[in-house]
Amino acid sequence: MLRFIARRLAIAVGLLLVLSVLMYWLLDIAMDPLDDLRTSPALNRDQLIELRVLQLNLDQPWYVRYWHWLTNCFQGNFGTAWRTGQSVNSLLGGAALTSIQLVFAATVIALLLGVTIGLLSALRQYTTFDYAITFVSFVLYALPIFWVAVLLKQYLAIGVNDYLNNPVMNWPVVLGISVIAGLFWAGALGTDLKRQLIVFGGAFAITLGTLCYILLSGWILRPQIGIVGIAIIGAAAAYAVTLIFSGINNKRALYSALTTAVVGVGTYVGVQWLFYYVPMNELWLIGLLLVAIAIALLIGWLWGGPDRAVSMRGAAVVAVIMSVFVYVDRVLQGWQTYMNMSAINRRPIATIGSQTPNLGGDFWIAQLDKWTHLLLPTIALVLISFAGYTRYQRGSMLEVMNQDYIRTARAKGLSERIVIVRHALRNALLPLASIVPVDFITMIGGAVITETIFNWAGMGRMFVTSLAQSEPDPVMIYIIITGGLAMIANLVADFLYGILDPRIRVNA
Amino acid sequence: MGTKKWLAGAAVVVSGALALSACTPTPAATQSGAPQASVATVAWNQAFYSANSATTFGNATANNNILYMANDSFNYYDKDLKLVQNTSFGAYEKTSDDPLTVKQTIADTAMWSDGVPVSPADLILSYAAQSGLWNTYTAESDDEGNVDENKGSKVFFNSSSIGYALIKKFPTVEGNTVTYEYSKPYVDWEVNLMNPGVPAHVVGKRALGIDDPTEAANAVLKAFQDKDNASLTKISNVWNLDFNFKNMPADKELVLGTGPYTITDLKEEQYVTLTKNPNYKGEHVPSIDTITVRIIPDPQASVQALQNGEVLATQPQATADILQQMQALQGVTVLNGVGATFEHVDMAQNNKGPFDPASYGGDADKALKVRQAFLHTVPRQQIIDNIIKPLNPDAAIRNSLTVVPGAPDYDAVVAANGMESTYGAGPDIDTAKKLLSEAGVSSPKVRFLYASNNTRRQQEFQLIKESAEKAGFVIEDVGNENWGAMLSDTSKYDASLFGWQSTNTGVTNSDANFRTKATNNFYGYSSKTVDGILDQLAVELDTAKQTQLVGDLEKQLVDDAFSLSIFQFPEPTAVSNRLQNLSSIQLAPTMFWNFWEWKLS
Repeated sequence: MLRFIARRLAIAVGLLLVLSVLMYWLLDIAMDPLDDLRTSPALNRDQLIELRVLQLNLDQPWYVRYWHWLTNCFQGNFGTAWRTGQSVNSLLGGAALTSIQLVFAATVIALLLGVTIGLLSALRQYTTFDYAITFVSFVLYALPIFWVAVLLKQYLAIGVNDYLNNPVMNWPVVLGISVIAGLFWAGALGTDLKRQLIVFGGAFAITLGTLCYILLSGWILRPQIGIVGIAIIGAAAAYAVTLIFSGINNKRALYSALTTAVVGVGTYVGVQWLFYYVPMNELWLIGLLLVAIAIALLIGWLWGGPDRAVSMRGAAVVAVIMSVFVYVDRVLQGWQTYMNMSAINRRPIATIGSQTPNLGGDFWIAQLDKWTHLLLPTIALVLISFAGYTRYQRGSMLEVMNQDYIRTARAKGLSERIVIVRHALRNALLPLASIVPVDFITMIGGAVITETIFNWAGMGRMFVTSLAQSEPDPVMIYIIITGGLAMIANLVADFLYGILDPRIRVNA
Repeated sequence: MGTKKWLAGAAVVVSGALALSACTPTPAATQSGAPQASVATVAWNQAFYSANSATTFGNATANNNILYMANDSFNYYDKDLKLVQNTSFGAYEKTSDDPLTVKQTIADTAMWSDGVPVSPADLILSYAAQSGLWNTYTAESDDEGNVDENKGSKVFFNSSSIGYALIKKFPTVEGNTVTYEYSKPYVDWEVNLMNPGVPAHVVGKRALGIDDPTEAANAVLKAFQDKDNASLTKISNVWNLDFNFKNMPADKELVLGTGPYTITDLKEEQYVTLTKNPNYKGEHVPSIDTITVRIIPDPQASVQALQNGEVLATQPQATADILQQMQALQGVTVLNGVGATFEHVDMAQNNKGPFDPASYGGDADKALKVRQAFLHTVPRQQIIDNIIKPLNPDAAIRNSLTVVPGAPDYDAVVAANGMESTYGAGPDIDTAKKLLSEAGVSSPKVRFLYASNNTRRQQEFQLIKESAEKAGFVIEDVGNENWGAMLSDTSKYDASLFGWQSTNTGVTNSDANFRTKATNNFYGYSSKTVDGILDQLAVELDTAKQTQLVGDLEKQLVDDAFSLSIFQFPEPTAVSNRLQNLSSIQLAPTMFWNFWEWKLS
């Protein structure tokens, strides 16, 4: 095992070195750092050119410069973006953080949605629902992101902001969304025509009702969840989680999930006072989440029974869901204040940047501001990457469902839920384990267009700007980092595979 | 469990929840009562990165615009590109023509944002650093191209300025007055006044460790006066390196300014915030509390941000699509305008090509006729109608090789140079054919260089090509992405199409383009008359005579068929109706020129 890691790492380092030499050489050919001076009308142009040649060592051959760059890198000095005189080390920190912020939420959401819908699509193979999902996912897959982004800005940002300032009900859109929701659920849940009709009617009515409530009651102008909302969400989460993880007949699991929900609602009040008196930060939030999970585990453990682990797991998931909604609830409490701030001017959904300049306000306002800025780029990234996950998940699920052991499981009388969740889904998730880490890394390095259009100063922007300005150092470090991460991601994927599937041995 | 039990349970939960919700706190509605600062947010396409725009790399529009708002100066450009004295900052006058002597007096109201008065040391630091006269060696740059810290007693200020280099004698400092003398007459002295750059007292503090502002500033002044290389090394290090940052520096003294606003927040590639300077006593008192410049490189994004109210003004790199979008916006006014760059056609006269007398056995007259014939085929009006009008309905032909349209002396120079009467709207195929047959040259082959990655130039090239071929020229497309690097090598092309950018209205700018063997005269053009006029121009301090000389200069250039100007780059500005009094001038700082007059409605 150790030998395997050592060998892979050695190969990776070697590859990186070759990559860096090649890239440096190519960049040297492609870049012309004197470009702007050549057409400069300045009288002292020759002197300026001389200064720059000296500054960039352009009188030396590229391999000498490469060697200097490399030795500096090993000493932790990644060089300078010479046009602006900034050190690459300081540029890199901000850019990497921004990129991760941008990509993380999008990847998680795309993964959850993609897996769920791909699973449903596989279970309903060759139905209209399956064809519809296939069609939609291919359309999304093919969409150019710059176009999606512009449309999103036009309708979800400018349109919604206009609506908030002048709320006029758009009935065709509301009805359209309700019909689509109805069809989706009818396709996903219905098995025969009668059930499909019932599901369609139900889903249509619920969606329409919810939308009307949100839009007509003015909820959209002052969105909130409140303790009642938290209670309803908690109860629903408890049932849903139990249904999927252990079956509703496992009473201990159900009760531990429900207990967690009740405790969650109870602590809601206390947590509000905590938020009121103690200025929060990210660390506090993570701490609170961990405490919630610990309490849930304890509840599951206390309900006991022969399979404690199932109860504990269910309770923990419920705790996470509730914690997220308590967080969302608290963030939304600042909505009115946020809307009326002069920097926002009653147009909350942003089209550019990662934050509003000079906003002021506390931690919660800053959180809300972050979300209003993340909303559009996240949706854009999700729309496009979720399509791929759907296809992968559908394919691998279909393959697994046709295997003998699934037939065996059914034959021995296991419920369909157990067959799907416990026997099929786990194995069907395997291929994703090798795709997701690589995908995540690619997105960090490759969200160039999204970053440009939404004006996020991430890694991609740093790469493109530096390339355009003939600054080799930031480009090199970008290539080394994305290249290195890609290799690490591949390594991680291989390991995950080995751990998840005991049939695969990690061999040296 | 039965339904009743469920309902009862639900009822208990809901009523309990409602009861509990009564005892949760309401988050304080912060700031609802307090009056909020008025904020104007505008877009710009490049991020601020240096508070010292006098270094060779810090001298960029992105920095200059911000520093223009954060600093006052002795003069500034008004709407008509006239230099206006700013007496609330100081007064200046030319006290003698021979030797050219200038006296600058700093007003009592001129003050840094930390309350320290602007002193002659600030002017001297700015002048001395840029003159290059104190440099003892050229910089050792370290391995990744960073200008290294100067060690020992080596002095290097990374800057270069022609004008300041002519002030060889150390200026006289008396109280708040600085008097200095040029070693030879320098006609652009007025655009080359000494203005404070970075604060001398901060440089002194950081370089020499002197805390008292007055002493620190004086120490800097003294170091230059005495050529104290040990101190100057430290001073040059601070001057070169300390003022480059993209995020708000921890040390607020690095963002001190003398202007109506000071930089109060800075976020890498995101925004710069300027807030009213409480210590500002000058006359450009702004009405808006805070100006935020958001960095939006993508033109489409900046237009949608304008539509969404996130910015109130933008000057994107416009295409016809972007302009149409801006015009369609409600509550937004689009100001048609032009930028500082102008497009022109040049011809090489030193490459044995069709425009070089050497191809005709040294017959200069023949080569001249071929050049004239070629210029007669350039469809100037058609280029403007087809390519530029969609971007700027007011676009017109530029008829001068040196003067920006709209500048005070443009009309006079155009009247004198004869470009309009000779070439007019173009093309004149008959005249071109006649000139070619007079020269006895048939189907000359012209290799035409332009930026092949620039759509607009591709279109221009097509129009020029079609038109020139009608007159019998054979045009070969040698457009290249690396056109900039190829310009100086005329063996690769015979004619070129590109833009020169004007940075100020100074008259000496043209020197580099037209003088024999000057840096930007790639074409081997050499005219004794032109050289002579340039010599006179460099020492002519009377503006009326300057205009006349520029007219003569251009007349000669047009007669020699050296080059043909076509149009000024369009640069539309879109402004929300919430922001008033914003307009744009052709030279930097473009739309920021009268920021103190901006008003929010």
